[in-house]
Amino acid sequence: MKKCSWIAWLGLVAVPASAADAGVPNPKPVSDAKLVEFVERQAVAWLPASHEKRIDEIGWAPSLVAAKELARRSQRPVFVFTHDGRVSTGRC
Amino acid sequence: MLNSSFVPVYLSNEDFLANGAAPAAERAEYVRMWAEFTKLNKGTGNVRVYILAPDGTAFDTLGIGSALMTERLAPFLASCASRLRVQPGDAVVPPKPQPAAPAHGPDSLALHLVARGFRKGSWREFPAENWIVLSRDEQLGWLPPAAARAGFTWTLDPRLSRKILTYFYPQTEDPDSTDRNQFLEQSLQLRALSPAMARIDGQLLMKRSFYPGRADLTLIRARLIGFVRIDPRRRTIADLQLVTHQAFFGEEEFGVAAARHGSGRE
Repeated sequence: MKKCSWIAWLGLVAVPASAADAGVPNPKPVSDAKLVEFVERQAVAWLPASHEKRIDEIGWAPSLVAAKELARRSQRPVFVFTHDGRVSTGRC
Repeated sequence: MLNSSFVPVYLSNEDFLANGAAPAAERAEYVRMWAEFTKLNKGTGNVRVYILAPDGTAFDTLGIGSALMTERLAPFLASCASRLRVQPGDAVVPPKPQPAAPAHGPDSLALHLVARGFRKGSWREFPAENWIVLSRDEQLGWLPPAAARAGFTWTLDPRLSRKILTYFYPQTEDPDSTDRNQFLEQSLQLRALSPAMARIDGQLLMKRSFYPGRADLTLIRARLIGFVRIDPRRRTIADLQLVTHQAFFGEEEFGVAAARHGSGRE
């Protein structure tokens, strides 16, 4: 068997052929009558809590250029936090 | 102390890469800051706190390891403020929610998405958030034909469902916005409940590595449920909410909810 065939075969066994094969959950059904209530309740429950959004309590300048200008005018130092990803979204 | 004595700003390194979003003037300041701190010889790094004096010159810096500890960060900030003789006062910039909804046209629809893994520990201190903007044309793709009756079913164009489902994973290490998801199966089926309401049922099978550039992919398995409120006269989406009914990232359960911005849940 060619090497590439082995790879293809490995790919087939490594990747589930369908959601059912992969064990996608099968939770208790939600009726049409309860649909909106169920979805809205879940959407609200997972919103960030206030203790998870302390970043909102800080008055962030929109850019380094703006921060330096505001610092000059207010005679305050600039606090610069450099980071990878997006700290404001938690995708970092 | 950040509000009363400093002008805080956060900078994503991604914006300063060759293809990054930072404008030229911002890049110039960023490069100047790096050069000055290199010369200051108190340490530099990609993830770090830097303090600029009010005149914009490099003043002091703190490594991320220390900055994550309040007992080290607070005295550092107090020392900087004292040495620079800062007069505390109100925040220079009024605090506002981060991230704010992106600017979008009146015909567009902004969805706010929240994702959270349910285990405890690193990467689980706070949820992840994303904004997804659907254009007028993209919204039309979510709607049934104008004459559709209750019970009519249709499957969403995979390009439209992928635009939302690509964010249906819990917090992972994301140093940049590169889409590293491998979709195995995704589908969102809709069923008209009335001219103004459709039900969504769906499933997602996707692979994603926790860390970028790694070969150890984690399987994401999710069952999805939601609804679309339709404005039949304008042929637009009045509300759209989609949540995981049950979802797993490997063995860890997680939850994701996407809802129209302003739907009342914020």
